[in-house]
Amino acid sequence: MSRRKPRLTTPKTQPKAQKPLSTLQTEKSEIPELSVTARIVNQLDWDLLWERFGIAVVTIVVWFIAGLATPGFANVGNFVSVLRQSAFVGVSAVGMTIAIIAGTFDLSVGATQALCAWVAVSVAKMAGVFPAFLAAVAVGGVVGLCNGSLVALVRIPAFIATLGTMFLVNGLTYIITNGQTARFSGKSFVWWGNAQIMSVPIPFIVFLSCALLGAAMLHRTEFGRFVYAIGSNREAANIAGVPVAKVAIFVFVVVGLFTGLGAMLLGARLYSAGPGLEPGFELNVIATVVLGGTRLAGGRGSMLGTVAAAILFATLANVLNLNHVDAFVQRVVVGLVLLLALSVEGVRQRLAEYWSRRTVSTRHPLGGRRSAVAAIDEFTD
Amino acid sequence: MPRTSFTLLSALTAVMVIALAHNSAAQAKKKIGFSVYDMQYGFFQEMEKGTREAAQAAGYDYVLVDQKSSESTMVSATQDMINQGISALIISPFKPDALGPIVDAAKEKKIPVVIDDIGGGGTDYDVIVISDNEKGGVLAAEHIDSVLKSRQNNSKKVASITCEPSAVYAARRNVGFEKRIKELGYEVVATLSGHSKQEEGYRVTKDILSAHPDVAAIFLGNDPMAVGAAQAVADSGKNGVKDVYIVGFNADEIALQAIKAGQMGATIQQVPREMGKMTVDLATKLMKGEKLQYSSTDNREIYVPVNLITAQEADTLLKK
Repeated sequence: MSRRKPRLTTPKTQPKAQKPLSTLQTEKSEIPELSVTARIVNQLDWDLLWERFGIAVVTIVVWFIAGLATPGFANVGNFVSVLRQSAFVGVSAVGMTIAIIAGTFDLSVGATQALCAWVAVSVAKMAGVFPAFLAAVAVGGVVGLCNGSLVALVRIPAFIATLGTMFLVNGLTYIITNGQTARFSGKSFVWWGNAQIMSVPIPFIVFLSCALLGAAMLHRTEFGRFVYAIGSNREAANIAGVPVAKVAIFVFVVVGLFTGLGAMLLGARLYSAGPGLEPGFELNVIATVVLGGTRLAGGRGSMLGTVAAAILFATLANVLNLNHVDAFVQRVVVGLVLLLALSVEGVRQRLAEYWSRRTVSTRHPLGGRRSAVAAIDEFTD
Repeated sequence: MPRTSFTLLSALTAVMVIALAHNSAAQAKKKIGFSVYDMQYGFFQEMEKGTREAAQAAGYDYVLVDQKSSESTMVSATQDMINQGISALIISPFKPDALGPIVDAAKEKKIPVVIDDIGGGGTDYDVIVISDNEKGGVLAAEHIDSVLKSRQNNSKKVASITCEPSAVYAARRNVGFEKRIKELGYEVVATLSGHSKQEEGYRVTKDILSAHPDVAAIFLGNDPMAVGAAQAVADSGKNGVKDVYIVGFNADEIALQAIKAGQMGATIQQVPREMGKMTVDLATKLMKGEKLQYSSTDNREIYVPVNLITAQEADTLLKK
């Protein structure tokens, strides 16, 4: 890989015993009778691979199966629909990925989205597309600032703070809008939510751009390094000189900015927006991020995973609709998928632990009880 | 971009190409698509039944999409249905304001759009089939007047509870009711919104009963709210017929049961099944390119008459 990521893990440790695993060129008499495949399988860090690329692979497999099994899935119009649908949750999920890597999360994104979408539609009606974009993103940023201040300065736990903001913003939206939906069907505005370039929907292009922007923020800026540091171990980061409060506030502002942008896209898509838009949105966003491989504990995460998970959820909804599956059964399916994806990691860990006692030692990134046990194991061999 | 991510992206493209090769051919039989507000309500179950039976009787293929009371599902699922290739779209929209993208997509594919109840959102649909809501409100007012006159009850206070604010046509029920009831000499002490939901109808009625304990009658914009109101009245120790006369709208099964049990007074019957049938007939006409006769050309509306249902009629209806 060409880019270097800051890794908060120690270099791979070698087993106390004789055999160096870093190269395949060792004295033949010392190596146990393993085939080349088995050795490669042992050497690969399957947990990391699964975390980074697991969901992307699953998405491709699901697309393949759906294309063969579900009539009506495999046509351009449907793909456009699935990709477009994934973008609205996806843009917000990009911001949420950064927040969860930083070890926090934001429950108010749903309420913020409704407010920003209404702002976008109303401003677009009066002033045009670009002012609408600025207004929506600005409102999102302001809400993020409130969240960040509550969490970092007033020290309210993120769950409570953002829950409170959620109710506040929700009520505020009803008051400002008087319960009415704003409508606007200006061509240049709705283009952002509905049009396509070469059969790729505009919202999806925006989503990918946001994902690239988010990944760049995480991997190429100092802010990103701070985010990973705070997420891994807040106290250690604080002692090391990371400006924890400032970074935390900025994280919430980023979540708000992305949510505002996604809200504008949604308003453009629906030609309208009003209070109560998409209840339960915040949980969809968090589920997307977690399914994508970013763990709620923080410190590690994958933007590619978020993109794949957003597409996967949209695909699932689409396939279930095409098969006329009952609405409530669909909710059960979504829950099952989430649990299944998260349990894969635990099952793999168990298997790895079992096999590590039988075969040549595998590599463990530092962090977590499992590797501590394995590390102690190696030292006491 | 790291090599592995690039490989995955190529794999995705390859899969798409392979899957596209399995695309199914177009169908010969015409398909009618019906997108419905929410199948958990009796009103829409009846509407769906009428639409489905008429479509199948006319020899069409029929496909149904449930919006599950969500506007984004309404837009995405209906557009998916349009992409699947239908010849006509019948829709009962959850949020008429969000009909824009749907109507645009249908117009692009030259599919006629027939709207069944709720509202048109100011879009360029072909026709909307709607009950004569204002007349229904007037019927309710006159019925309440005749019931209260035959009592010793001196109170001239009534309350009016509306549906979800975006249901502009349903709003006409309460407008018609309030206009007529004021003409008949009553006072409307409260006009509140129950957002078309049973729980809200319950809550709002409880509040009205506390604020105006001598209210004589309540008119609610739909039956789920009316049943909620009946429960609220019962919970306050009163009766929904003798003490506070409750009138709903729709003639849903839950309301008919409540009327038969003496928990509420009356309801105005819409005929969702007939409306469903009518939308299929209109779709057929539009597909043939015929011109339609509107009841009101302003918004291309076609009215369907409504009936008053009291205890006697409720019994007959339930037996059917």
